[in-house]
Amino acid sequence: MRRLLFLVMLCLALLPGCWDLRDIERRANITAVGIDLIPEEEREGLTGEDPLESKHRPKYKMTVEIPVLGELRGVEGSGGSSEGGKPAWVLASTGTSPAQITTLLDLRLWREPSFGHTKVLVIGEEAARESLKDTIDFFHRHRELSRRMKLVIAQGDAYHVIKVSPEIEELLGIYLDNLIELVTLSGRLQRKNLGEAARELYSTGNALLPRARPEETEVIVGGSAVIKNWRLVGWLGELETMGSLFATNQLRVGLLVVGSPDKTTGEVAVTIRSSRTQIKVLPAGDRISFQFNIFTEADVVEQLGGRPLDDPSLIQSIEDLVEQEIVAVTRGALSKLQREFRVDALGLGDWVWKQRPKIWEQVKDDWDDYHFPRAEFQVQSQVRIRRIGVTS
Amino acid sequence: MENDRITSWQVIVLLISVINGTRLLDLPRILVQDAGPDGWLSLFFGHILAVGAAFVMIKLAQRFPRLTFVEYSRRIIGPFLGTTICLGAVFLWTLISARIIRVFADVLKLFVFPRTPIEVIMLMMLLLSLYVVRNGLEPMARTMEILFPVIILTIGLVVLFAVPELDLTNLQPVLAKGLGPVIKGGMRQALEQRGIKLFLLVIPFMLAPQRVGTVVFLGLGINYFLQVIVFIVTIGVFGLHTEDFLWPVSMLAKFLAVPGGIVEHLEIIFMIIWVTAASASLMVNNYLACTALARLAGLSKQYPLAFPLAPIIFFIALLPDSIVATESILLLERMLGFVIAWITPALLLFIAWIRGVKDV
Repeated sequence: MRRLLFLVMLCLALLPGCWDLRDIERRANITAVGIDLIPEEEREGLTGEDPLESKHRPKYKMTVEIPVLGELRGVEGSGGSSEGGKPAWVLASTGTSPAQITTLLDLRLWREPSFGHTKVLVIGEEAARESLKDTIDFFHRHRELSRRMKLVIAQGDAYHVIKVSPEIEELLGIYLDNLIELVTLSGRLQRKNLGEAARELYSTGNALLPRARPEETEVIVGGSAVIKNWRLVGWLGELETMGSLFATNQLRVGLLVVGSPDKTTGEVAVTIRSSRTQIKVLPAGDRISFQFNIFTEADVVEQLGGRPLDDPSLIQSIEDLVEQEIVAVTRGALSKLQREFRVDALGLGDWVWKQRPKIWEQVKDDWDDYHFPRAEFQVQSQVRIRRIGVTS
Repeated sequence: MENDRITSWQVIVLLISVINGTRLLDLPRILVQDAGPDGWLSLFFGHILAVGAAFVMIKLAQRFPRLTFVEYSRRIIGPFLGTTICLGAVFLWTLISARIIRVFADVLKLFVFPRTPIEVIMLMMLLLSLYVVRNGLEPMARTMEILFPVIILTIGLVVLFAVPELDLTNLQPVLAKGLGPVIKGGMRQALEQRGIKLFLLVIPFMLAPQRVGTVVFLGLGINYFLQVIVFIVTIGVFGLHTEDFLWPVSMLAKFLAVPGGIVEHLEIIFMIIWVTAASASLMVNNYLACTALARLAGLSKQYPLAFPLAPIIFFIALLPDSIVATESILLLERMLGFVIAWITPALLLFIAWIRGVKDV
């Protein structure tokens, strides 16, 4: 009996209560975060009346999207308290750093900001040009954030991206996340989440990140941002992005349009069904030579001009054209990175380290400045057209 | 020790549990720091050395089949030196228990309970451990037997979820910097397998002491596979970026997803591994400290000492100011461990052989 009593007392003392209980009503789940740099001349006016604050002038503007749970429609379309209520609240605030702004959200939001369900982090163009390191450190260090969160560079202000209210989806965070995660046809964007981006950035400081361009009611995610030493230095177009994916063995699907294989047919569109790239690193004198062997399987999906594709030699010549196109696209991306930006954003140095560690030891110190810009690229492509659709 | 007898399989499970306490989560970081992509080789080398050290202990123990380290060390080198060494061992096991509790609670506080006082998390853990330790070796071994499959299954799940993200070229290049870093990392790994100290005490409790050699091989073999899988998965996902994380294995949770995206936030899986592995290791270390101290004091049972030792463990665990300062405990632990588990048994064996001290 006494033992039982003791046990009950012990349970009463230890089991009830939870220090870390936070009801869902008391959380503000942030679905999307955008960070912009405030231009130098506008910072002056933001200091406010507090002289103590003048030492730390606001530098960043952070925009967050918080879903208004009562207004979300749900699957049946039966939720929603009122017609026309906005499903998301977009809130912007200024401060010295993301950590400070997040904490100061406390002053305008009685719910605790929670990053457990954050889907995207959008960095504005100017903030990315200043330094990506400062802006993502807070998120990289944060214990709550999923590394699967998407990291996107906005062309323009991140604020305008977060502000978009997409027609088809209620929350921008989910829209943008799916846009990047689920695009499976075009092969023209970088699919990269925070974890993958951090892996590249923390090892070399260089990376290609997805680009987002805000429009009225949608965001376009094609193309990529070129990051050199943690700073945005420029953009790759959509086709160049495709080339970069070919070069890094990341491309799985995509569409290519090639000219007519002979005079009687028109342009041909092929869709890539599978592709893989083998990278070989070869020393070539005092330069380093990369060999990219790209094996691709594709289907013809469109042919303008209308001549039946009944001749095997015709298929053969389409294959040749696609091979040339793939080589051209890949070369285009590589030479732009090499000549214009002079940055190894594809992590090719990593391949040198993996395949020729001895050479890497010699070149690693001035890889970006000297050896990469002088590297030689040989791109070879092999294409097999497997199917031509249901007509000939 | 009337019915405090355990089977060979239980010893294997005890060994693996006690080794993998809190080290499993940061193991890949240490391996990558030491040897880069060749960490799996260091690990192998470390295990070979550990097997060697374990065999020295076994050889020593086989001279005194019914005695533990506490008795035969005093018999070989006299009461004073023997008692000093045994006190050192007791202190080491107490220290390890304290460090496990502290690191365990730190990680839980960081990832799951930011507002719960760390003392409360630590106390819960310590009470659980005390309950098990008071009941003796056999119930504890059975507890480990239950917990072990849980750890193995959850690690299996992690491997399964990691497959789509794995990039095995991250294991290249092999031996880029020669054997130097591999050997250096291997020595460290050998010292990391502190669990082999188990064989100082556990042999007289075994049902089949003659099979202890097989137990060492199997135990360290399984342990190697476990650790190497964790290493390969982590470096396969993170590459050399592994060394930037304090607990790379728990960062995996933030990186992986169940195929199809039905479930997010896989932290729960890692917390299962974390809580089970850490508590298992804590229990064994706590038990070893109690038993060694009890035998030193001439008591036949360990349980009267479980409660008096607890506040000391709790106090030591609260000493370091921060996560970074906890590393200094680790350093002390590693040095003491080297003396107790490597130098002492070899010396004792040598002296026993020269003086011809034997029990049978």
